[in-house]
Amino acid sequence: MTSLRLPGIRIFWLALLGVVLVLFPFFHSWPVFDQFISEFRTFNATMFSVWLLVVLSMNLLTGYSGQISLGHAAVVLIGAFTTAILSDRANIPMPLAIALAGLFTGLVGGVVIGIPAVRLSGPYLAIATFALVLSLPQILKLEGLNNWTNGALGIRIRDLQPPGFVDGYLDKGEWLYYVTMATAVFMTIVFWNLTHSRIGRAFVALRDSEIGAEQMGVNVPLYKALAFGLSSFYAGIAGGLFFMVQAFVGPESLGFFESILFLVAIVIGGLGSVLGSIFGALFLTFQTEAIDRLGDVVAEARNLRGVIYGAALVTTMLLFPRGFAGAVQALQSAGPAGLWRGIRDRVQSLAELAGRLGERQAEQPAPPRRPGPPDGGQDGS
Amino acid sequence: MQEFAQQTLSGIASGSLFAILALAIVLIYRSTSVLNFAQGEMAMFTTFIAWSFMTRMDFWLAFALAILVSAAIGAALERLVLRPVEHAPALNSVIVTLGLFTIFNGLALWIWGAQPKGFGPFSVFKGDPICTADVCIGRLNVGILVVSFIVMALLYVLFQRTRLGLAMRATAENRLASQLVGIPVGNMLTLGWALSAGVGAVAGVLVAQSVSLTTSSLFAILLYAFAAAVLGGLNSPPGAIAGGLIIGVSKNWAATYVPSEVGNVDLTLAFAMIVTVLMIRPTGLFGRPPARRV
Amino acid sequence: MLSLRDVHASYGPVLALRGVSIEVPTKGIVAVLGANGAGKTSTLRAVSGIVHPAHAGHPGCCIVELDGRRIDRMAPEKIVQLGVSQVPEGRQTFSEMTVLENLQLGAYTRRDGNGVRSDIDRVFGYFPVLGERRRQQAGLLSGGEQQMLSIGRALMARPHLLLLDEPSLGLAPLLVREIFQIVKAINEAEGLTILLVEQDAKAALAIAQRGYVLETGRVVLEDSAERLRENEAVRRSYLGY
Repeated sequence: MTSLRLPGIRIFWLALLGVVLVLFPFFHSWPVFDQFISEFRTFNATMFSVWLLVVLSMNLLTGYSGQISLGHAAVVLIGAFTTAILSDRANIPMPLAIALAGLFTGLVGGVVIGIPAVRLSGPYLAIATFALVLSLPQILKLEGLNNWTNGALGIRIRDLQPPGFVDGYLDKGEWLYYVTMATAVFMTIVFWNLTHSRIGRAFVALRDSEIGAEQMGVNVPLYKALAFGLSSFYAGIAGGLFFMVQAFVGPESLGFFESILFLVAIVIGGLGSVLGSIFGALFLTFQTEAIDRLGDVVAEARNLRGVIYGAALVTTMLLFPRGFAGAVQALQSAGPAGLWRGIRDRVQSLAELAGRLGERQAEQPAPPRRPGPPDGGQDGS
Repeated sequence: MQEFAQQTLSGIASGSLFAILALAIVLIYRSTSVLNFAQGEMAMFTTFIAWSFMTRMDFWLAFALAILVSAAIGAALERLVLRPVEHAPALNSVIVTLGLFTIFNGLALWIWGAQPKGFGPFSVFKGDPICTADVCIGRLNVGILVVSFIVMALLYVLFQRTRLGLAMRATAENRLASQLVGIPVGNMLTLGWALSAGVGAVAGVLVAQSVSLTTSSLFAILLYAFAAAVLGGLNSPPGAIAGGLIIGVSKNWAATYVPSEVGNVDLTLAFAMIVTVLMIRPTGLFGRPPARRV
Repeated sequence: MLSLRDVHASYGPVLALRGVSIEVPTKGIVAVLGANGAGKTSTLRAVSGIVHPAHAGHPGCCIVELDGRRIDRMAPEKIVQLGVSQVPEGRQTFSEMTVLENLQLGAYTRRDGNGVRSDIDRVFGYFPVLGERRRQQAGLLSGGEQQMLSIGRALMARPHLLLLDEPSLGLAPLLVREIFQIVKAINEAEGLTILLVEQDAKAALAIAQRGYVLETGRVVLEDSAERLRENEAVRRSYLGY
């Protein structure tokens, strides 16, 4: 890419968004806004930035490149721990620690996970990443690594103060907000450019058909490893920011259930788009609070959290495979009536499907001709 | 030496539990190419159902009922939830089964709570260990081995010696050809899920005998079951059995012989085994490479 | 026996058949010819119920009739039970199973054990090499043998109508001729109606009575096999020889 392009939304809206983002931490002390924006929202916004990076990294791997990874929480955890170790044990300043953690995680992801992943087909890859996320907490607690990881106790951040030049202008919370938001904005722009570049197109080709991509001249092993590497880089940075904001990381901080939560986020938000990633990050930021509020209305909501998320995952997959972002796009192009019609059609075809298998076949292209064993004839195709 | 034989034997017993669950996973994978991540939670859920039956009726009757209920749930899931994604990219079915995982997990927690339930061991399994030549094996382990063996034998007879089993194997192997010889492929898939769920129920009840019944009892086993399935090759039922036994025994050896200062290594071991095997043979020890579809 | 009337079918957004009408008389052999992508396989899929004809919106369209009975919305297994068997493109044998198991699966819809056994012998009569290899894994057979197995498997259902999808694919010309001769012999001996889809027009017209030529999902030519064979202009432009 020769120069960074901005998404083709009207400049006006972008500028407006920019202004809102810059002024956000101060909203809670302004007359009208303080009715519905509290100081806590700044923390929400900070976490939003972290989650956005996590969701972007997942979307890069799964949404765009079609690779199945159940271990994403583990990768973020690696980023967080690396940052913690570098800044706490090795006294490296936080920004550098985060950057290095990102690179390290990217390398680990690309080389340690990505290269073996090349040889593994979908289900085997899913299981291997599943095993990773389940065993990482245990690995982190191993005696041998205690000096680094502090075992089950985890690592608490040393006192982190904003740099001198903001004293008097920003408090720590606001400073953290700006740092994370700036990082997130920058990396989102990079992400957008990446996915609209040749690399991004190669990823999509990979997702749609590995064999097809191969025939198109895409170097499958390279791009697969690259997908893992770039995704892990983003996850690593997210992990580092996570540690910085949460001020703590332990072996159990991000595990299998978080992996599922991330999956819920990208599916509900919308696989494979920046808009979808934003929705997904919103989900991650507010889900606990939303369930709590729901619990005030529907008594058992808090206890049924798992059921609600699982049902959301299944329903979205069956009825709105493109998630919220997809629904928004459908609304834009076909209007509310069109959206409703689409849903209705989908429900109808699902009902038919439950009745029999035959109809489904009509939507599949003919199976490829399998070259028979050589028998003196050519395989006409 | 005695200790070694003992640990190996009990490793075989726990390994056969992994093997049964792995069989359930392989069963579905062969016919639909879907990896059922919800397998463990479904088994746990039906074990809870069995537990609630058990408070009012004889153990074996409750066991049988649980298997039937489980099969019904499996069949319903295939028809309603899995069929739409069976043709879709693998990612979709992974997401759906993970959704099911979360639903069953949450539902069980909500209905029965987080407290462990006493589930046995039932009278059949109580009593002194059976000993021969200085090697003792607990009655429960004997029970597990016997039941596992029966399950495997029944599945073998079904698939290799009956017309229905032949049809199911055909469906798993080549769906188009099966349709063209008049096999009701849709029904075969539903049956596959029902069977798999039933087998899972057996595993669940047996597991609950060994440890108390909680909503996470089967989750702990799930990784080992997947490891067993992967080790053996996702397409291979005998592979799943071999994989289960290997993992069971290795896990026991590790628990016995790895010094405790190192910490708990069972999950790490499973992970290491999965990765090592897949590096050498990306489709497992006995698996066939999947047919590449354009 | 078989009647397709203005059949439309699509794979997702791609319209594969755009109004195909074909008549297959009882005990006859009809050939459907055309280049790749012309819609030949889609036609057989529509008959077997693997693909359901799309509705084109006007009455009288999109009908597949077997002996006067509409089968275009039926499940594939029901259609097999009605006596329609297909030998699919690319053989599609159950490669992990033995030759014998393949044949047994062909008889899946039948309940008469003795009849099945004698039919297996009859198939071995038509294709002796299968009899020699009856316990071998189907995937280990040569292309020609697999083709024979696929035909034999379809015959095991004792069909009234046999659909053949490009049986010559990947086979040497001599073998193609041999297999086609056997198919013709079966038609004459048992009165089995045959609908044959082929790219190798010459071989197909050698045994068929009537031929249809498809191009991009439509019938562009329809005539007796004899006239199609003799018309040089037709042969050159449509049949490639």
